[in-house]
Amino acid sequence: MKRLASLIALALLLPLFTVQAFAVTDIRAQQSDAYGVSELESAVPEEAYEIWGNVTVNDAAHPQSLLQSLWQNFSGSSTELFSSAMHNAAEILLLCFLVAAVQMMPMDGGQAKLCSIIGSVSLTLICTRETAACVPLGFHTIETLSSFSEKLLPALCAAATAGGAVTSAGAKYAVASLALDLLVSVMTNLIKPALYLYITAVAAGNVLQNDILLSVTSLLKRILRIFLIGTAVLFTGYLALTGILSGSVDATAAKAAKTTISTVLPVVGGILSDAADAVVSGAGILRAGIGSLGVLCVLAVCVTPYASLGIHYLIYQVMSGFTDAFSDKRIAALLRGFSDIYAMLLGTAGTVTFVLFASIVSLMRAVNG
Amino acid sequence: MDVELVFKIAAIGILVAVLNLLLSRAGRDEQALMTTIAGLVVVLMLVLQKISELFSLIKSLFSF
Amino acid sequence: MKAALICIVSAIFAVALKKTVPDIAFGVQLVGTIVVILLAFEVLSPIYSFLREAAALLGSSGMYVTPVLKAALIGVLSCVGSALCKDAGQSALSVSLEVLGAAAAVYTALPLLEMFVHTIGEML
Repeated sequence: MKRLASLIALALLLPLFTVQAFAVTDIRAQQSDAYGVSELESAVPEEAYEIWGNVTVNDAAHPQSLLQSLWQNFSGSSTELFSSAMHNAAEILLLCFLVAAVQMMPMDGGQAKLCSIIGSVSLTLICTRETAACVPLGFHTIETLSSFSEKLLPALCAAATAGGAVTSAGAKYAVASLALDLLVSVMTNLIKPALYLYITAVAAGNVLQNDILLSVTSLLKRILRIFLIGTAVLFTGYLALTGILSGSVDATAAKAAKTTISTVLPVVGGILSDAADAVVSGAGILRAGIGSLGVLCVLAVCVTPYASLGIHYLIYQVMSGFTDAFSDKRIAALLRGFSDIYAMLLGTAGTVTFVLFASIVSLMRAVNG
Repeated sequence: MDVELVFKIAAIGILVAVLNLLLSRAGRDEQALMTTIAGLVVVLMLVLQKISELFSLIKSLFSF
Repeated sequence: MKAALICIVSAIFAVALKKTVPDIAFGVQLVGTIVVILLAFEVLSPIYSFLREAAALLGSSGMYVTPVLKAALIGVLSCVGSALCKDAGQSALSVSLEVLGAAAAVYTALPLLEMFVHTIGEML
């Protein structure tokens, strides 16, 4: 009888352990739903979708194969980019030779100047045609990153908060979200028109040989450089400060909570504390996966446009140095002005990318004790 | 052939100059003037040929 | 070398005939100039063809190269014509030709200038 009773008691207690096992595996799925992971996965940028298809957070947790696909895709597209840029360079070189030859012809001052202006107009049109195609590319990258961050940062923040970084995650998310919104807004409404104004000033200034327009270009360049560097420095400093202050608060609060629970509830408290640890570690794994997906998607969006802008910048710099040797100084200055445009585009898009990267890394590394 | 044309025109010029001088000295100023005009017309005809050659070459270069 | 020879011979004959028959001396000068210009264009013609082929190879359809070449040729022709008129003592004709040359060069580059203004306008 006693044996039968103990057997029945054991049979009744057995399901408790199996239910707990099912509960552990169910936590991650529930957490994924709670943090908006499915919305994030459906909001993956088009560029990333073209490379990887329907990539998930779980895939991003093991990024080696994804990085390999990205590299293969980049290798394929970089050849095309390079040949298109070299094509443009050859056109410019041909026209530079022609303008130099025309300037050597014995003509009256007025005719010579007119021919020089026509040559400059031709060259400017070739450069502007190429640049006008690259400016929308740069700003499209910024807009894509901005719209992706609207899904990524909340998911990352939720995972970081569930992982114990209550104060720091919220503060970092607020800073990152505000900074990105402000940056994108300023870049779309101020910097984009300023960039077009810069292109116009470079083109018109060199064709008409107007010093006022040329000084406007150097002023615009200086203002943009100060703005971009200042933004990056301010954002990084504020993020670091927020992380240090609120991270230590989170660590202290987490430790205190665990100790209190274990002390006040002697038996059950230990189980509760362990269960809470399971939730936190699950959230930590998910946070790493979300962050990894975010980093990979940002790479996928940025790598081709940056390569295009970088190649154009290098080619225009080389052409400028080359034409300085045999052609008019104005032609070399024109090419240098256009290379500055590519540098500014790189800086503009690069600042947004940097802010987003810093936010992702900061949220991934949020202290949770 | 191109240098020959220059010599040709120069020869016509020298001939006209000599005839002009002789006729002027002989007191036949109208005939001297007519000789000059005739020489000029001949030179112009030769020059016009070259000018038309030049224009057709420019036309062929400018056509695209 | 041939061109140099023609120029020297023409100059000598022009100077020699200038006092007696100045109009024929001008004719000699004119022919010498035209012959040398023709020689120059014979040399320029393959260069011009090469530039056209290079532009076609780069796919730019000559739209950017042609106006520059045409403006240069117009400039050279108007300069030569203007100098000839000055030599003949006709400075008014010379100036008129220079004005026409400038106008013709701008007219040749007009599509390019329109595209330039249009591009600047779109950006602004």
